[in-house]
Amino acid sequence: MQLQWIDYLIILIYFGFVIGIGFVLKNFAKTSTDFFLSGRSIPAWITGLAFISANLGAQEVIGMGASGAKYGIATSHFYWIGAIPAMVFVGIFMMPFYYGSRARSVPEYLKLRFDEKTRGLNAISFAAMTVFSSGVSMYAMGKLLQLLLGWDFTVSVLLSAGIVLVYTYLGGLTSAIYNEVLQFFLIVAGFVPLVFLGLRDVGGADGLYRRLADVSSSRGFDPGALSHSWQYMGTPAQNPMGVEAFGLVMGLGFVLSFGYWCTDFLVVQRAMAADSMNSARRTPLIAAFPKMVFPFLVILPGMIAISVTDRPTMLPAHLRCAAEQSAPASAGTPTAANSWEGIVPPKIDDRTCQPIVGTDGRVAVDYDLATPMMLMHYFPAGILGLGLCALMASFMSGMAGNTTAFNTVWTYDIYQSYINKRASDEHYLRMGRAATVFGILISVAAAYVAQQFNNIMDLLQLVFAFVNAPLFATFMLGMFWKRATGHGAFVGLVSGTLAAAVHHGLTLPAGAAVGFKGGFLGTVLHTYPSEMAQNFWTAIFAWTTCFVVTMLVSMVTAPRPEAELKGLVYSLTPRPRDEGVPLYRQPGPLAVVVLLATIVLNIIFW
Amino acid sequence: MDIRLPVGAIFTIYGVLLTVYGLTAGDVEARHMLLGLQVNIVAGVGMLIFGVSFLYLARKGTPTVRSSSSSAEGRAIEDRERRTGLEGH
Repeated sequence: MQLQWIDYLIILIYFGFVIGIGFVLKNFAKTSTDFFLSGRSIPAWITGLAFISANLGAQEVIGMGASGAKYGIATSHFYWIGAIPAMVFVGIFMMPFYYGSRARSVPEYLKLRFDEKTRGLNAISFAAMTVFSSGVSMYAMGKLLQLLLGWDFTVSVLLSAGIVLVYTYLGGLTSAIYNEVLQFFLIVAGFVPLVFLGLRDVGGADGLYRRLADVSSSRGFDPGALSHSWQYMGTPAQNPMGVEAFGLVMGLGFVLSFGYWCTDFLVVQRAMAADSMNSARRTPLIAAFPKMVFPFLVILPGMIAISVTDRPTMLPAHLRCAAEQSAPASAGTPTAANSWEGIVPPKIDDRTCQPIVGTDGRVAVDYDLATPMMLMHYFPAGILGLGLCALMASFMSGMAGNTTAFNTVWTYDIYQSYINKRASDEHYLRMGRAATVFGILISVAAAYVAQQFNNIMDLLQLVFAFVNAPLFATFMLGMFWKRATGHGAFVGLVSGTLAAAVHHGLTLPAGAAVGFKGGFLGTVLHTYPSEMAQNFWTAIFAWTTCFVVTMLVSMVTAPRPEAELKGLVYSLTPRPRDEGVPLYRQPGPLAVVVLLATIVLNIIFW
Repeated sequence: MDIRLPVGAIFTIYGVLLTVYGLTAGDVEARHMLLGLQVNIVAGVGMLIFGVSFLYLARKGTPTVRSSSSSAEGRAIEDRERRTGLEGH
């Protein structure tokens, strides 16, 4: 694919603006609180948009498009079940503790509520996870730009990392938040026209549903399987996700979703930067509105991509060899030219230019290219530059989110707690800037490791998943059960992580080989219909183990005096009051509106 | 800095660029058409409207110093202070 001058101009203007915002905000970061928490001075609508934008990384935009192509409307479960309820919960019930306790980070809350070792465990695993996951997404972005545009991997990685580094280094969290708001609007502006063009081309919603029914049948499912979110969730064999309703609701909707939205400092930090308790509580609720409609922006393109019947006019750089392939293929053999699904190309072996055939004898379709192919197919020069900006914006907002969360946790929870307890505020501010630099450097290194040894990254992500799965049980008990103790929390977290590893080691998704996918403990006790079902159940086991062990250990260890737990536990904290605040600015009514709208959406797309 | 300023500015610039480029490009492929116009024009005009209204809001939202007697709220506060004797005159 060739870009025109106008596309490059649009991308350059974008780079100029994000860096410019960093320079303008340089003078606003004078103390460590300014740098790490924006001086707790940002209004709710801005923290709300930043909250959603930090979550909207490239993996979200590309990955949800890919899932839309793979699973159809059921992908919306990641939003309407897997995000909204948890976002409402964190705003209504948890923010009073996070914001009210004046903790500067999520690990610091654990320190206030439990003890030092629980904080240390959480801080270290979180810090490691953020730098590595930002490396993995950097790798994904570099690879994508290489595939699509033929851009050099190193140039893409260093350029995007460099830009994020400049603006987070200069302006800290404020700069990251301001840019996230800008990026949010750009992502919306890039994807709205794409959805309209695509929908019109496939004949509106009716046309889309008709074609999805064909694709669904050709994959061996009921014609409606790609266009219903709940109807086929009764048995795993009926839906392309291969999960059942209970695993979905408990695993994704409860454990994984609450674990992410309620305890991940990457998003919680945005709410902590808000200018008041009311704003902090409204941050996730305001974010819930765009989150609710994002399926139409990011999932729909993937669904349209598999429904388009034309051949794409522009090919990604790595598929040019397929276009030049002139030898006529014998009927029935899959070739690079006849294995497309809509405008989504097959996975191609770089050397032979032949499609990669999976273990089931079917050609593997490269669903990650669904959304990028949509951009190339429907966008002419000009708006194509904007579409690419939207992709890069999503990548940068996710990466800046990781960076600011990392430098805060590093400085407050690791450096200040264990290395240098009593330094001046300027010292910590300098340390925060230094952490920004070396955090990004480690991420860049991780991107190269991911490029060379994909397995190491798979392994790391698996370990992080084990560490994360039980977290919400610890927070829930900490916030709602005053009897929970530090020893209980620590032992519970460790055993929950072990339970996740053991469960994963004893089970396997159908058709997978023993290894990272599971079964590494020697025997396979249970085979799940899909990897997703296995993940959901790993989370359920980890959460339950952590919950039970924390309670048991807490019962036999000494509780903390109630006076020390004021403002940290629900029953010992005065409810935040919203008197004199207009109804539409109160968290309660907002939450009701959000939940009702989500229920309506679920019913419409049932 | 008001965040609406840079957002408004970049959308205004993009809006103008896309509209002008779309009008001069002469690309009339059916795939690229929205509302009977090339998508660059439609998106460009949309972004221009959004950008200009954000610039307007940013300008309007810039805090200015006003005497408290210029608003009903301010007059109420002054009254209350006078009643409680916080204000000398």
